[in-house]
Amino acid sequence: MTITEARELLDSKKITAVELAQQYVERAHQRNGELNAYLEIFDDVHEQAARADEMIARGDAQSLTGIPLVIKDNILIHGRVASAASKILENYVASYDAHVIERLKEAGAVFIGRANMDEFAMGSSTENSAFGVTKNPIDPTRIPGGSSGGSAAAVAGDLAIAGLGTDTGGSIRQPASVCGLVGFKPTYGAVSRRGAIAMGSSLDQIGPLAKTVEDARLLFETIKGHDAKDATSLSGDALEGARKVQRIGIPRHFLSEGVDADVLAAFEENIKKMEAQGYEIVDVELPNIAYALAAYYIVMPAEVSTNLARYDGLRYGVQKQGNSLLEDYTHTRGYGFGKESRRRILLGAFVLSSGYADAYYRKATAVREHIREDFRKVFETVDVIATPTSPTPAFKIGEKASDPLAMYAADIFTVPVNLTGVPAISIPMGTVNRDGADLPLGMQFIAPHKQDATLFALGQEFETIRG
Amino acid sequence: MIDVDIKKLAALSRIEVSDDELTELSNEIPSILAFVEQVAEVSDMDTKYTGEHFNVLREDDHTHESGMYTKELLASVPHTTDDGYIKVRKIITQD
Repeated sequence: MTITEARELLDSKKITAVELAQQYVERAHQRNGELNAYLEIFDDVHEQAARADEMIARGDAQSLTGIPLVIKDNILIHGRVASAASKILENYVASYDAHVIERLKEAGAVFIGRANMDEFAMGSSTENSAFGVTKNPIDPTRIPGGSSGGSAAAVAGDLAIAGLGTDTGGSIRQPASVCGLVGFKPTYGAVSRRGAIAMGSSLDQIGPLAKTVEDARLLFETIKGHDAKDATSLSGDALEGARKVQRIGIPRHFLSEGVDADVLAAFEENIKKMEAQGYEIVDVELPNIAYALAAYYIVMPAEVSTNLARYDGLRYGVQKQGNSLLEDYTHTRGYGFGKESRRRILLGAFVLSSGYADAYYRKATAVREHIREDFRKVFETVDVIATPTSPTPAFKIGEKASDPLAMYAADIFTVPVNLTGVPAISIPMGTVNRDGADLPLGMQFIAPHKQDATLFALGQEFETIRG
Repeated sequence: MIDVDIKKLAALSRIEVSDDELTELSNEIPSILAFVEQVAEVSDMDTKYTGEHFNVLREDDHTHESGMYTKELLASVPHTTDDGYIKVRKIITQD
């Protein structure tokens, strides 16, 4: 069921919000033991849905009123645990609603529960959660992607109609791609980050995961907008109207290596379908894009090491005491952080440290500006850029867990988007059969800054053309 | 590969790392650095920040009534005093 379909059922009184939510809660309880998509299924779903029914009865229903949603565990809901799937915050109760949660509550949406994720949003498989991996509903021996793997698995497994994730290097788009969903990363600043547990503050955005482009658009429209309490939030009128797409640019020089043959074949097939419908397909050069992954894995750990410095056990979260204040810190953080978090904090400390900051962090920041300029130039000649979202379909649980660099390579097409702040969408583009399961593949479209609406318009066209 | 003092990084980051993990990280971190240091190949001449946001500040005035959130915030604190303070170890001694 999509948001659009549920809205029709609710507004025509064929079902109540309470009945709808109950269906999702029951399914969530049935399947969560196997999938581990939810860290917690909320105990007040009935009350939330009842309030939605009141709104509907009053004639005040909005697009998301009564719609059951899953919320990633790094987005604060007042009075609820938000742990970012980390032991260090496993008992932390949020003291305020994230801006996006305020907006969703005003809209009468229903939160089914909080979703599993890679700890502090660091990972591409949800294997870095302190509370166990989430399984891909399409093939439970495989990962659901990451870091928003729990949200993706919940929506793909029909344990929620849609949901929220966060995307710092691809963490909405890549799970969407490997779970057969639509995932959208807004223009940086389009959605307030207030109440999202910060990972990489110049890279993070909250965004929707849904079954259709229209559903994703409805969710985005509800959560986007200026927030005076987020200094990086764009003004309310900053986003532009949808532009007609005529030319699609493909950085073919960047797709030649390290991409699964079936992914490339599906990508080319879909591009041909677009061409047959009148879109002009153009080869484009992004000269510095090969350096994007390296620049990302310097800038992001640097920001992570700073953002995670606050977890010291003194003001919130778990504390493990030692024999001194210093030991209180080192024991708390040694115990509370998982392996990948520790790895990235140390990496970040290194690239920022005296004697190395110039060669690593400052250089990476310069590379970032070059890549931003490359995109700006390319967008003078094409309307959007297309790539596969992920270089591979869902891999097996454990397959890349022991090789950090192999895992990082999963982000190769998604990180340039976060580095530059442009919006991007991942839309299902077909499947490939592996070991008896039809594994989804995703097409990524990238637009210039503030042309989020263009991606939704093009996305809906693509859904029709793809068939 | 670059020589990295993992112990020093762990100390800087205030993280206790076991000897086994120190060994693992002594291999992993240099190999990640060997990958990322390719950014050195790109010239950084003439780059300047061209993003939307630069020094976005608010007026330096009252954002909310003092004490409004104290009780709720203290509820999360592991150790508090009876009169509403965060309790920490003594760090200043007098001879």
